Amino acid sequence: MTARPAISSAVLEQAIAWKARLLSGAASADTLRECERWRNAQPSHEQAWQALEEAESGIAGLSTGERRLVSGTLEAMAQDRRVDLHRRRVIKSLMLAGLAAPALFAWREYNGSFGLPTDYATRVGQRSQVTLPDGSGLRLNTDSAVDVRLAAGERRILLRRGEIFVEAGGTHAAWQQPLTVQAGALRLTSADGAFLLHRRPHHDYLQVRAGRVDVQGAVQSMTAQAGECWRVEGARLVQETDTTFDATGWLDGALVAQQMPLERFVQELGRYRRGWLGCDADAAGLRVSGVFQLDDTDRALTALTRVLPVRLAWRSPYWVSVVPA
Amino acid sequence: MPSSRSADIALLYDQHHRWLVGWLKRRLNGGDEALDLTQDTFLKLLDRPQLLDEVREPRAWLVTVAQRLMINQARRRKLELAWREMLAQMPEPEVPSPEHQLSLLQVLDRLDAMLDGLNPKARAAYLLSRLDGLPYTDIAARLGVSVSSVEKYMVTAIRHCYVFRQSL
Repeated sequence: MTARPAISSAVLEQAIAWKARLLSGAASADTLRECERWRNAQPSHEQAWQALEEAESGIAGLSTGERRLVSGTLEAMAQDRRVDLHRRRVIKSLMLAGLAAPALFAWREYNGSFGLPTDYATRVGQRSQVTLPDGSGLRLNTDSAVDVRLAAGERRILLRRGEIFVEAGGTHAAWQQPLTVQAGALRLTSADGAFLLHRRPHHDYLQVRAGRVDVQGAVQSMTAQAGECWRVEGARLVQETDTTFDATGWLDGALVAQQMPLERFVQELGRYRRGWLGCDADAAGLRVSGVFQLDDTDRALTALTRVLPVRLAWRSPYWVSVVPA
Repeated sequence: MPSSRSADIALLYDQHHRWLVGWLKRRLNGGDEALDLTQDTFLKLLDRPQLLDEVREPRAWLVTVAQRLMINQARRRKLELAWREMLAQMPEPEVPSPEHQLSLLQVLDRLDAMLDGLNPKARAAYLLSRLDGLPYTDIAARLGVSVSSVEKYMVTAIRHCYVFRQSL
């Protein structure tokens, strides 16, 4: 084991307290920022933080499906309960907010006929995740819909609407062929990739987090590598250069902006919110930075008024404008 | 390893090996298991000769190590059983490949060892948060405690994991 400088117990306790606070699932943007500030304040703070991350590294590498298996086993051991484990896991996942409908579909379809298209959908403001029978992980962002087709010789996901994050895990011997994701004329193929695909109003957006993804557009084709972002505008494939917005933030339940134009920010936040959310032209060019929780868009909007010279004009809960203060 | 240490281990083995086998036989059902466990105890010493430095009373020390291994084996057997049951209840297309099962079992073993000794509520809170991804409000409802208790459990669990990691 390599020697490392000792971390003082006071710093360690602070790091632990921050970690426990951030994992609550209800940490505000302010809390996240304060934590960032704490980590940046001293090298020893960041060192303690990293040491905690390292201690949990066994968990970090697990996919969603694997986590479920592992936690199911450990909980069964603790309680020494041996009844209907799998069903208990499914019922448990039903209790996760926003997951009820897709999980129910999953339960029904996985035990029933294979090869039939299975629909997963989320409503506005909802997010969900499922593990497909082939071991692939599928996460749906707000207002999204997919068809999944798993049959002999075929692993295909059809993105009908919205945004998904796919982890193509060919973990089972019966599913060795690459996974295909289709959205309109766009066709993505990957054996081991983890990637995000979003059907936006004027283009499709692809971000590859890990592995490789073969992209076949209407006329062009290429291979996208980990870390790359691409836009598909009609028949053209264009590398995305916008860095003001982290498109994968929703996987952690957050809208992450860095000097993002307010108009874009409001448009993005509006995806998670019922009704109409607008931005006044006089405020459109302001820049937003920060981490905003997607589960409470009212709070995100209120947070906005604290960091920018803007206020909210509420005509109704479903009709809100961000206007100059 | 310095040669003096390996000589020390050899001496320890000569002098106490048979005694340890006898001691373990009296506590375990089968003789084979006692032999295996004795072997594992000395293997641990060969793996980490610096452990020798903490040996004061050789027999007491050997018994402590052997007992720890015994508990660990029992824990691992229980874990393997739970894991096999988990797999048996999965719909077939979801069952991971044998290699994948093995690597997951190793992850499980490490996690289980890490969480060993943690109080049951803290352990449950930690699993629900880190593996099931539940927010504290849901965990609190599930465990029948307040949200602030959940946060305290998490503090305990995170600290426990850190201490475990440092002890490796």
